[in-house]
Amino acid sequence: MNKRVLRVVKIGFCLLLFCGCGTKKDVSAVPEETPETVNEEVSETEEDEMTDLTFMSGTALYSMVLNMVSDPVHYDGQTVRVRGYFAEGKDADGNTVYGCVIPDATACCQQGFLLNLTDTEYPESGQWFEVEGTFRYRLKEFSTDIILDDARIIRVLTD
Amino acid sequence: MDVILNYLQYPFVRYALIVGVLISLCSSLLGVLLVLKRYSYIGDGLSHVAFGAMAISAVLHMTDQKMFVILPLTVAAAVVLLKKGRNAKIQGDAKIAMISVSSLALGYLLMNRFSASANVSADVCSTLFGSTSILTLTKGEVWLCVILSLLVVLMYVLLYPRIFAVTFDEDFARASGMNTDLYNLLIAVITAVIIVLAMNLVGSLLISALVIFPSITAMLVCHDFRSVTILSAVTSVGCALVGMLLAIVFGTPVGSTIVLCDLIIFALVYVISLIRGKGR
Repeated sequence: MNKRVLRVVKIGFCLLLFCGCGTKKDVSAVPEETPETVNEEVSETEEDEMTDLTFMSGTALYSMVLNMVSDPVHYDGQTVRVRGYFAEGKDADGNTVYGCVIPDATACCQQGFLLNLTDTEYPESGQWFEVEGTFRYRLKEFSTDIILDDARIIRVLTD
Repeated sequence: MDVILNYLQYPFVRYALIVGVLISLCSSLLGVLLVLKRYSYIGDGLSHVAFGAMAISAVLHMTDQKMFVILPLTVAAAVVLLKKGRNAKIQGDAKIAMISVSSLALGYLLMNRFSASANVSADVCSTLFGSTSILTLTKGEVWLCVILSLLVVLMYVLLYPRIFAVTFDEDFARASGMNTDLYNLLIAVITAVIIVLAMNLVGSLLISALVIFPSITAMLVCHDFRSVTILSAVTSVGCALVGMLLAIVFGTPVGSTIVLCDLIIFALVYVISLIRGKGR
């Protein structure tokens, strides 16, 4: 019996080694490696607080954005830099809206942000681009709008 | 290595690795039992039941409490499938096939007609193939997975001799006074719990691979129950870890990548065992 209990304790200890607690700070942690940008206006302070998702693979990026969209309160106010493709459409009131769409690796699922753009020149619909803006959410009656506010197009991706 | 460390800064990646390791450990323990009891395909059947139950929870707008719908229904199906009736009109493999396809059809129909989500194809894709489910777990789901996995491992370790007896020779175990029905029921419950958890990792269509490959690979190398169980666990956890990291770094679907890792290890071990067999 003692042997059995010891075995259980050993296994429990080994499993605990895999457990770790995340902190909220981790979410906004900035990967040190940032991609080359065309726009030089970003200050160092902004860089420090930025959630840069441009280094992520398709699977990880889609998952990250899905997590952000599912729990927007957690990310409200963060500066986000992300790659996706440009989309243009009309809202329920007939106003033109712009979006950054992020598909998953197999392109069967998509998530995205509405863009409140400061630029006056936009890429064509379907064009891949890199954009940076402040993460905001707006509660509506039956849904939640996820917006990148004061969004700036950093660069248009050719490939 | 830097790339992996970059990803590890994000909680969703750490959650995925913790849950992935635990699920793969549990499924490998279960796999040895199911393969030896010749129930390799039950995982597939039960995962389809879980898919149907998930669709029901979506229709009932209970996606946040989906486990309260999925677990009981899957456990009930597991009990029905694993119950050996001597006078049963429908035999085991036919039962699995019937319940499996019925649940899949019902689940897809419900999701298609009554889904609360706007993106049915995404829901189906993620549930069936586990494209990103493991990377989008909430903290509550992570804790549930951790607790259920620990319970499964504890039960397995504590009841190891009895599970061993029921698995190898049920008739002998019954003759020696063991309550085999109770242990079969326990195995059914454990199976259902692990299948429901594993749906997050590889999706419902790929669960069988997670259950079968590590056990078969271990059986090619070892020839006693304990060694097979340990090697199966090591293989399963290793493949799940490598598969998840590859999927995250290279952007491939998580479930398929893990299964491919399992397949490659199995193929390597199989070829080596063939060569060694010829050499003797």
